[in-house]
Amino acid sequence: MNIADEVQLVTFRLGGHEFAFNVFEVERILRYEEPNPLPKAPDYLVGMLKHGDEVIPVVDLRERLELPGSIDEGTRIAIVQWDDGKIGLVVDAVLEVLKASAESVAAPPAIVKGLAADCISGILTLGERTVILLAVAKLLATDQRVALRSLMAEIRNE
Amino acid sequence: MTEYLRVRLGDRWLGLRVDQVVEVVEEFERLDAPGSHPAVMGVTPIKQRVVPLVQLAALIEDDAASDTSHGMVVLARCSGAMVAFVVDDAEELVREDPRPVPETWQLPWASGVVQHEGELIPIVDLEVLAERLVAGGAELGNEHRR
Repeated sequence: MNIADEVQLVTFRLGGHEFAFNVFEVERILRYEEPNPLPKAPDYLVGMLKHGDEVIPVVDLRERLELPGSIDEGTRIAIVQWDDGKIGLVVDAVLEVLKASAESVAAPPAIVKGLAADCISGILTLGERTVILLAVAKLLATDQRVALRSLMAEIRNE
Repeated sequence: MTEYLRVRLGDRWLGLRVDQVVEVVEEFERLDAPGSHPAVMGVTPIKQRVVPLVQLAALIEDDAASDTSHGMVVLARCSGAMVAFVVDDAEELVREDPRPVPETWQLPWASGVVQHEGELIPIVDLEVLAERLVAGGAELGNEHRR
């Protein structure tokens, strides 16, 4: 397989389903640590997390994708590139890194509807496993993106 | 004068050239990478790359990695690739010109030694370690992204 035709994915579990990000989007995986809550923050924004010299907004992906979940030993925060900054995404567990041919990633079927449809960039089928690839840039709805950008700009200017 | 990061493996201190060190990370996720060099404990997704997680002690001793995932990681550039070396501790920098490894020391992985508080600290030659990893079946990838 040619490297150019290959994708490397970081897979994770969320509400009993398997999802993945392209490794190019992943900055770091951290053990779950309760973010500092923000007053009057929208439901999807669980708070802010200090990571190195930065303060990063943390989004609960379960909330965003309307999936059940709880915090336990396996819970992680994936720090990913978002816009020109970073955000943290709460996931149930990080599973593995896998390589797949770009051809094996299929476009999401037209039948996929609902809030989450926009953020699915593809579906990978590995035997009986189905891995849903998420597009970090599209994880939030337009109004959410605007609100978060404005919040991040405020943080940077503080 | 060259700068070195002091890293501890058990009760032994080694030096890593600072210009090869990208970052010292105190927390890392270890994910399985079957069939690689025995010193490779797995991989970790970091800085938009999948980086091999290598137990430095096992690699320099040519020994199998023990199952430790504590300690810290020194992310370093190694033969054009990024490698995450697991160490017990990483401390202050040493600024010193390197000297040759004493002839009686059998350290094929050391490029020299530096003196720190009266002790000679071996400097790890990351190129030699990269060769060991590749010879042992590890996939180092490269610096290219996207």
